[in-house]
Amino acid sequence: MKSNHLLRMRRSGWFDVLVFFMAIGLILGAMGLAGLLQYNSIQTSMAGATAYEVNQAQTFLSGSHRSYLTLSIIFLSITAVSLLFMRFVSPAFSGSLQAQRFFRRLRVVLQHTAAIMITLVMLFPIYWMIISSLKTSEELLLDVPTLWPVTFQWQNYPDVLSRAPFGLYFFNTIVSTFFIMLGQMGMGVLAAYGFSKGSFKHKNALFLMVLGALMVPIQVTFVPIYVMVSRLNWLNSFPGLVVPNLVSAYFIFMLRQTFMSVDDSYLEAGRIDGMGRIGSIFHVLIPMCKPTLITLSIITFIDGWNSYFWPKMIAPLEKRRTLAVGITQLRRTFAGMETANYNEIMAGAVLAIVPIILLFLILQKYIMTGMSKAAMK
Amino acid sequence: MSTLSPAALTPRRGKKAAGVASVILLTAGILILLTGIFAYMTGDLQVGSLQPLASEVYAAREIAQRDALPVTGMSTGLFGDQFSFLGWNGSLPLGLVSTLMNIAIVIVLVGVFFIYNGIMLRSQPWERMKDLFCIEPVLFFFLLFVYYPVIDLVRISFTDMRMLSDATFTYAGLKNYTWLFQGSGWRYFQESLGITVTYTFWEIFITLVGGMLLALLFNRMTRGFNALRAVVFMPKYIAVATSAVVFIWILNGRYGILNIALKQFGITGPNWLNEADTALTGVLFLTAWRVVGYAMMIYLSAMKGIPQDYYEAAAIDGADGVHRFRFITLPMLAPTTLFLFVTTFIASMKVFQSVDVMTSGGPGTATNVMVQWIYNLSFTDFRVARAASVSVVFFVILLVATSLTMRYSNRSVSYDS
Repeated sequence: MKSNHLLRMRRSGWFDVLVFFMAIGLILGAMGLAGLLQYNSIQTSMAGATAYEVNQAQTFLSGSHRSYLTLSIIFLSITAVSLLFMRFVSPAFSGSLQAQRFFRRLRVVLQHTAAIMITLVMLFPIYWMIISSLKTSEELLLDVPTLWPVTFQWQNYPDVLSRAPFGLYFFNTIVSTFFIMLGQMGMGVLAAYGFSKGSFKHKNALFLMVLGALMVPIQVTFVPIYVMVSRLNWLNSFPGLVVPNLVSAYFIFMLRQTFMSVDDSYLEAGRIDGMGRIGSIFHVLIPMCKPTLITLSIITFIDGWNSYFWPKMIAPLEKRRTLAVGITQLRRTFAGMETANYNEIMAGAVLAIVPIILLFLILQKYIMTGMSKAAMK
Repeated sequence: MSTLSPAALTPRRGKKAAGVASVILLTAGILILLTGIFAYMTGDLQVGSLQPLASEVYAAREIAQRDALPVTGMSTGLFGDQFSFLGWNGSLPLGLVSTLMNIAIVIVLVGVFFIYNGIMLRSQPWERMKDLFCIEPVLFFFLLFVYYPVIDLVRISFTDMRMLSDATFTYAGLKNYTWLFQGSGWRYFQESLGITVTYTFWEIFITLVGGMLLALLFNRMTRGFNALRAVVFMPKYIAVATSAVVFIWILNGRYGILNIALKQFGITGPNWLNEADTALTGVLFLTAWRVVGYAMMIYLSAMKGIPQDYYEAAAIDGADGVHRFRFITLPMLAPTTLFLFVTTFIASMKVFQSVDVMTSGGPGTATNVMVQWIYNLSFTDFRVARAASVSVVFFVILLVATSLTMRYSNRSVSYDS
């Protein structure tokens, strides 16, 4: 009888999962026990030493043997409970349709609850940012923080606006992002056309240069580019912010893939009607690839808006500081008193995030379909 | 190309003008470049390295002007630096020379393009040349801002360039590399690479496992779930720098909501970002928050592409949920997993923003990831040449790792269909 149950349990997929859990639990348990032994031997051998010295002597096993043991117990108990459930509880229900329906409904409810919980967790940082931005300093530093401000201090927003020139940051960000978008789209569309529909010698060899550019990250080559930009006297200026970002290999690559899916006969028809290159790009290719183009330009915009590495380096002065850099520099303006002033910092963060969130909500459809399309290629 | 008119095939005047212009441009550019290279090589002419100095120097200079503090080691400006050339002392606008060097590079590039076009024009009709012209701006840009910097990076790594010295530098041979591999840099290099790899491992782990679990959980195509998915996906598009500021507040040791919540369960949370053991974990909280929703969306859209027939066939064979996941979903998602693996690997090796905002590589060097180290070397230590040598080594590591993963992924999974 018992072996029958074992067979039945082994046939279920969950059994393998539980075996896996048990293995993890056993490994962790072994690590924990080894750590415990080591811990005890260290304790006895260093009886006269100070607590700091003992601490220093711990290895990665002995130092956290308690957490290993706890995790192991958790894993093993999950395994045991589930095995018991499979052995005794599930056979009682497997026969009746009603019970199966109940379990199915339970699963749906559990799925909804878990999904909503996780969504709330993901939303929490944004919620906490907004809430903190409306609190007073005293309320901010309570030992048991309030989840909803007792008194709304809207004054934080004017305060932070007077503390840092956010209007200027906005202006800098918008202008540089606009020109980056203009360059990436203008040159990107042309190049994507050339690489997908054009026919000239060495096309594939030249396209390798675009692919190669994908492999050279600016995080590695920023030193010479910085030297170049500084020699051109472009530090703290729009050209310095914009010019090195004018072309994106990713943009060209993605757009080329899309253009290639457009049939040549459309272009041929356009050519017969007397359309030139620019005409066929504007009247055939762009209308036909609108969704991809919109997605790519949104991504370009958001990347430009959020970029931090390059603007921080190239435009450290307030004159051309961008929003993302400005927010991080805001903390420094409080000179060590930032903890009590986090309501103002959070207000600044809200101001910086709101445009992007609004954009995301409005253009959500394009972004989400575009992302998954990008992954497929 | 049978539809071409014969007139479009041979624009003879344009050809000749292009040829003359290209020769003039190339000669001028090469002349300027050779002069510059000769001057560098002789070492007599030490061209000003970074005329408008580093950001911090700007700030220091501002403070100095405001508080009337003397700041030493500053370049005198764009013009009038003293120099000696083959025994002749005099002054030359060095800033102008270095600017001219840059212009020369541009001119040489333009000349190369002209010559290339001239050669191409001999073998293909004008109509095809127009296609070539479509892509040339981009190629020009890539040569100037992507490929030339790679060469320049290697060049700088053989010098002793600094940002704060008197704006002069000379070639120092392998000095930076001996510092990196045999000197005091080796320890930092090992440590930094270790931290980067640890971070990368965890980011990939979170992306793949978390994304897959969330995709399974959110796999329900209703309107409500659409909204939930959008919320989970959104953090990806919020600036890392801004969300990092929010997470600094959440992870605050005393007032942060995370530690206060942990206290309710009787756990005394560490001072996340200010303790060497937990700083990287603190950064990974932000990473997890940003990355998981994106991976979920990618997995979900791939799951939609799995034919429903497979599941039906499996159900007939008596497979339950786990079996279906293990033998259908997981293998069918292998290309997606590899895609996520490769992209996450490439992106997370270059992690900088979150680390820079949250810890600036600290406390100590606990979160000193590679890019952060290079950045600190050039902008807080002002050792540009050392930064360049580290960049070169890191770049080689990245290239090897990336091409290895790409090659492996190409062999095991086909991206077709």
